[in-house]
Amino acid sequence: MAQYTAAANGWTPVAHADGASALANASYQAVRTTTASTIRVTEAFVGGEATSSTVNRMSLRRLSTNATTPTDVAPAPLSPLSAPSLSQGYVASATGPTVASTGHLLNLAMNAFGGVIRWVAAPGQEIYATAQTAPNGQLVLDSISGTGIVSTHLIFEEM
Amino acid sequence: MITKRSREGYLLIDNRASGGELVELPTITCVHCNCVVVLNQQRTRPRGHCWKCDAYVCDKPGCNAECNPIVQSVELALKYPDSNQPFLLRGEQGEILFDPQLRDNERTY
Repeated sequence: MAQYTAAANGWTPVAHADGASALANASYQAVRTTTASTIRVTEAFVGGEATSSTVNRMSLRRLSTNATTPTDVAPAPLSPLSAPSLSQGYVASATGPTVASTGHLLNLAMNAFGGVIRWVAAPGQEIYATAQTAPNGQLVLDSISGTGIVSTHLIFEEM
Repeated sequence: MITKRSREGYLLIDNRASGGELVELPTITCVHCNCVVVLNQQRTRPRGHCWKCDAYVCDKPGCNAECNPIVQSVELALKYPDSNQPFLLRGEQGEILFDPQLRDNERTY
């Protein structure tokens, strides 16, 4: 199955507690499925770009309310032979998404002062999202605490 | 040959630029709630295992009490797209938050 990468470069996280609503633009990275697509995340990467020591506690979480009118950023296929993905990435929307209040899927704590963190799933150990509607259809990578600037990407397989 | 170790993910944390360390750790993904667990190399007590899924489960009681595979939840979400059910979300204890009747309707045993 085709794999895609959704990237967000040089964004400044805002500390979002569980249940945080209407996330501000460029304070998160999200991927969304459609009614016809299912994705499974195979890799998450966070690279710190802060200019001083700043601990970021990043987390991949589900949403309780999807963003309205997200500004789609087309994920790049890893193979030039792959068709464009149905699923989309976004970092901005008319009204930001609301983070679900339970269930962190992946916690990534690192020093954003040059720190790098990369998680890769073994086959069969991926994180799923499907069928568009909240809380099933979208995933958001953002900060629980810490506001050091980062660049991130999520690699996913579309099924 | 499938081994438990072959199902481990990989976590790299590199804080050397800020005076920290490079750490590489194995991870597992709970087959029931889909959360990623970083394996503590010092742990000696056994980890949860679902014999129906033949896979690791995390320490949440809901994940150990009942078999609700995340893949099954994905199938339910695709089958009942208009049901407005949180198929993929789990509670704080790992319990399912969707109507179990929908799951039971699909069971053949």
